[in-house]
Amino acid sequence: MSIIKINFRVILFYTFVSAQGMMNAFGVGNFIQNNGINNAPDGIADLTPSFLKNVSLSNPSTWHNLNNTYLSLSYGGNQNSFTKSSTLNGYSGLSNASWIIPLKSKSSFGISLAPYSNQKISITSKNDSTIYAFGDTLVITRNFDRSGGIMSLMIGSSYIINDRLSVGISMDVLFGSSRQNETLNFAGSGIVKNSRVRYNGKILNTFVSFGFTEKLNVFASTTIPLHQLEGVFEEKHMFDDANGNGYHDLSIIDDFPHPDSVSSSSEEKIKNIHSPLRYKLGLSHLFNENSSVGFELSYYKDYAKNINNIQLPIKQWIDNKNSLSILYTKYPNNLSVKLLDKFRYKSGLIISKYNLKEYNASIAEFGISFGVGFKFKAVGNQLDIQYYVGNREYSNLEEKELVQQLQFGISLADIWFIKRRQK
Amino acid sequence: MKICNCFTHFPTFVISIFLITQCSETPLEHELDHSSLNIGTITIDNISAVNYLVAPNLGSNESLYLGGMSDLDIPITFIRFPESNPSKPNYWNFFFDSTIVIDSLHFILFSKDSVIPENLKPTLYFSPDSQFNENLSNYLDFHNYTFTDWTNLGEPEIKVRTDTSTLFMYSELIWSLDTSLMQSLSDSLDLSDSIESNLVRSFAIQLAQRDSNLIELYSEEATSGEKDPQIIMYYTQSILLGDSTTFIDTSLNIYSDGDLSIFDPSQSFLPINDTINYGIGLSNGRGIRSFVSISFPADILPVGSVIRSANLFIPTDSSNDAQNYKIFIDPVETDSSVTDSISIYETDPYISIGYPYRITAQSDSTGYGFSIKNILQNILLGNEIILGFKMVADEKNDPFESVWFDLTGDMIRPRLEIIYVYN
Repeated sequence: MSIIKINFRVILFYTFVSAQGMMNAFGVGNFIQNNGINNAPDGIADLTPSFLKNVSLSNPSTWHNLNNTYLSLSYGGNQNSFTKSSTLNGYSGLSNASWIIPLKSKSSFGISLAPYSNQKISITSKNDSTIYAFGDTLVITRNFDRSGGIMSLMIGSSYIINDRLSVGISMDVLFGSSRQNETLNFAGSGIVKNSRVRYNGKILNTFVSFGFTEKLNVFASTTIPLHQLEGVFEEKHMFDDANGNGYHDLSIIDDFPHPDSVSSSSEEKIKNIHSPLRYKLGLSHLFNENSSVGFELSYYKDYAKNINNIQLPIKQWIDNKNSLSILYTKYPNNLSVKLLDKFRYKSGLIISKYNLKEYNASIAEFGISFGVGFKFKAVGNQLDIQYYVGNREYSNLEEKELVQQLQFGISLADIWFIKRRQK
Repeated sequence: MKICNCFTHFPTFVISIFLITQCSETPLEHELDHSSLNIGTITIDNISAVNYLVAPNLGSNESLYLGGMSDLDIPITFIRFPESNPSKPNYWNFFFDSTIVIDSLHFILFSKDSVIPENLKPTLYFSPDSQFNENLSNYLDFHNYTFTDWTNLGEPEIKVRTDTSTLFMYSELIWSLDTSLMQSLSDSLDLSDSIESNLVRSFAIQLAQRDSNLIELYSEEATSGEKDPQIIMYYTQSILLGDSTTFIDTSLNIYSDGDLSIFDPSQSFLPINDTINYGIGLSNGRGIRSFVSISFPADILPVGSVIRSANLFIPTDSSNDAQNYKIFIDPVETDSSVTDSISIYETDPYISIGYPYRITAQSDSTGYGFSIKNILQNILLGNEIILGFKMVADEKNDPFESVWFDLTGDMIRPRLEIIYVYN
């Protein structure tokens, strides 16, 4: 138990301290939905099954098809690099933890904890500027550092309407906080403006699965805000960061003004800083007993109105996004005793187009993924490894961003809540 | 139970992945033109000053004086000796110790002058009462003062000390005190530890006749004992060891713990209110101080601004010849100068805040500069309300020097230059 506690703290720490790609600087951060892989068992698929023949862990309307209760954990490492500036950033963190309980193969209940957006970013100004003041020429550089992000606690359920139609529903409870440090450096130290935002919001997802035939299934989902994401914005008094650690504190050289001489600023609630609307449509076709191909189309739009009222590293955010993904999955053969037949293979590609709010800018992303899963034990435990590589082209930037992800997952199955007879 | 075992080991597996994955964070370069932090500059030249006189007290000056110079009169210098050092035997009570025979007592002052004329040989007086306060006493306390209640100890023997190269080092003014004085210096009450002594060992020196010349002596602030005013006690101590008695000849240096030269500027008052002809000046020997007013509107800087620098510059008069003259400025919070409007104040009517706002000036050939950003920032924050600044000469300056400012010059004006960052 103590090992679990200690290690969980370590994981949580690194989950929040690391990251950074250009999209982390947009709006309320880089939505994990926009990463190529959301979790290791599903890979790039969202609606269409790839975990099992008829189950996607990301699609509650398929959960009741599970034979056992599953506890699934995914951990991933990301790397973002810019080709021209040779900027390389790597990070890792917990990407998903899910616990799904099928209820008599008719309904299900599940909860999951996953990051919703990652706001870790550190930006320096591209060009220095100068001003002339009282006989001195002051060279000015600017920095913007943001850390933190938003987590999502998802609670979902599914229910079979009939043998062809099932529905699912889930609610994402969003929570988290971020800290922004905006720094103006000149004459030997930086003036720092520090602010914090605490986020909360609720998002409702509805899912439908419909079986046209035994081998052809259609999936759809919608996402609407139940309670648009709002932030409690608190701006601290600016200070001269004489000791250069980014915090308003006292040390050998005290920051100015003295931390005790400034009063805390009042908090301001800012509503509607993120209001997502998403439609998804998926089609899955089983070629034979062990292979399937899935297609997914999605449209996303953010109806945020007040995002500009929090300090943004870059005055930009995603207005809408269209994406298409195709996934081929080869499932393990449960009846075979060959070792290779116990593996699950997945590969797919994603094409996405992000339209940004400002400057008519856009991002085109093309990515491919490969994955291998290994099924072990009779209950269907699985180990998964997924790799994604994507190329992002920014219309207003001269360079390209290469995104790579490597995710590891373990899904443990068992029958829970059964009263066992005592010997 | 098996699930629990797997779950226990999974975090260790995840940490291993993290350790394998190298995390890095390189700041991205991007335009930060939308930053809300800006630099502003402002110059305030509505600065005025008035002189006022405070009876001089130079208790912390590193020299003692006697005589007259530059129409300043120094009629008396006081020296006080402390209770015995708790870490040593109570040497004041050696007089009562049957094992000790006091052979001689020397009262010694050290002078920087190699020649001390006969007319400048001071007379030493002793009083067992408290006669002065090193930090508060001034010439107003000693108007028509006489030594009728004091014991006259005569004039000193002068010894000139040279180094091995026969170069002058210092002069010693040595008074051989009658050992019977030891009875006056001793306090029988000290024999009882339970009762505190009221004995104050005060000495004073005075010239037989007032003179326009001056002798300069080392004060107790000048050195760490070596040249402090001191009494050297030579004594013989008998020590009984078995049947034999051993006699040891030894000496003890007793250093003063307070001294003060009384400066009387009443014969040489300058028309300090005539700022047109005399300007604004400072002199610790004459007790000239200045009150500086800086006028600016309360909303001169935007709310929340941080002052990076606020340099107050006060130009000196071109005829100014004071070298390394130290002055400081201190914000004033209360002013009793209006109600106590007199030509010379016994104590400063402008009560200042002091630490941490008391600032020492940096001087150059054109004037004095003060960094007053700390007090200005706290005024902006509403933490402090001040009436102005008082400008005072450092007590360690040569008391016969003064510095004069030119606030009305056409070429260089007094000014306050502020660089600040606002949001």
